[in-house]
Amino acid sequence: MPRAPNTSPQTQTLLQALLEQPQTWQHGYDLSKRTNLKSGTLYPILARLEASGFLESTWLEPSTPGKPPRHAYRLTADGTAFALQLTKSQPLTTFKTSQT
Amino acid sequence: MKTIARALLRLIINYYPKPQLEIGRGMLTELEELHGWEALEWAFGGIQFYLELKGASMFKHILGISSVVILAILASWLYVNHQLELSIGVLVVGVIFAAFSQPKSAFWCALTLAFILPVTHLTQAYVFSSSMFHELTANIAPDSIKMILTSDQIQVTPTYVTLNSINSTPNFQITGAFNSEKQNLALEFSPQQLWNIQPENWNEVSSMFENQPVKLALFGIPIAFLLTALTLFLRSRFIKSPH
Repeated sequence: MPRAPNTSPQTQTLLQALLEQPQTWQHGYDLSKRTNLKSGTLYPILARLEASGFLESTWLEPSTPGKPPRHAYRLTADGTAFALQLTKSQPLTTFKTSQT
Repeated sequence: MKTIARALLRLIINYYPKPQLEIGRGMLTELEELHGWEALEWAFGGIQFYLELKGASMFKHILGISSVVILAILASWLYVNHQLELSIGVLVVGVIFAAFSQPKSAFWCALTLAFILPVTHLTQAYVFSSSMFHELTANIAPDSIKMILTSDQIQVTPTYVTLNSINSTPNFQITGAFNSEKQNLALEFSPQQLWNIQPENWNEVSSMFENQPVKLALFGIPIAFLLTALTLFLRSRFIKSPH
């Protein structure tokens, strides 16, 4: 039986990380550090979740002058509900080792 | 290292599909937070993302290009082996295939394919006329025709040769009278065999062959352009851009 979309262990880990601060805009690099997901894994998931309407993104002005604006993500209401539902139905996986 | 990573990521992001362009730019700004190998690893992630985005279409590209290349090779092989009709058939099939293929790469292959036959022929004729015949005119040997005829097991001993016509499409054929009884013989030679034929009036032959590329160009190149135009027309008529 094929797995339901957006339920891979990597996606669950990312959703869990986002769910810790659902209202806060979070940067890709910070998410990468917290989830131990490499950029090549993280960004396709972010793209998929955003396309599904579970994430929204924005450009945040830099805190330090001279740096470029940063792209940030946070869960939408649908995304939060989906993440919560997923947390209830399946135990979440934390990635300790390097994932690509 | 960071400069290389930045350049690499910037380059690959240019090829992201439009909906994912913003995410790619986000990756690029995040790169500013990283240093050394970590930055390079981040950039490689951008390539991995690109491959994932393009995964299916890349496969289609490879499939399309491979198919057209195989058809082109087959057409050339048939042509070289004197199967002109089959060769043209394969080319037409190839062009139609390329015209209806979704990836644009196949369209560019169709252009190549359309030009394969005239270009192959022109090259063959040019090489033949420019190198072989000039060599032959400089190395005339009186008994060479006899040698070739006997080696082809044709039981005639020519006393003189009168060339009536030469045709290099697709074989090199010499039609003429080859013996004292003026029997008409149509002989077919490979370029290597023809290399060894050195008739007395070789200059005439040489000039006839030297005109061949011009004739072939006049014939083949417009056909190639027509095939290209046909491909373009079919694509514009039936194929819709995925974006």
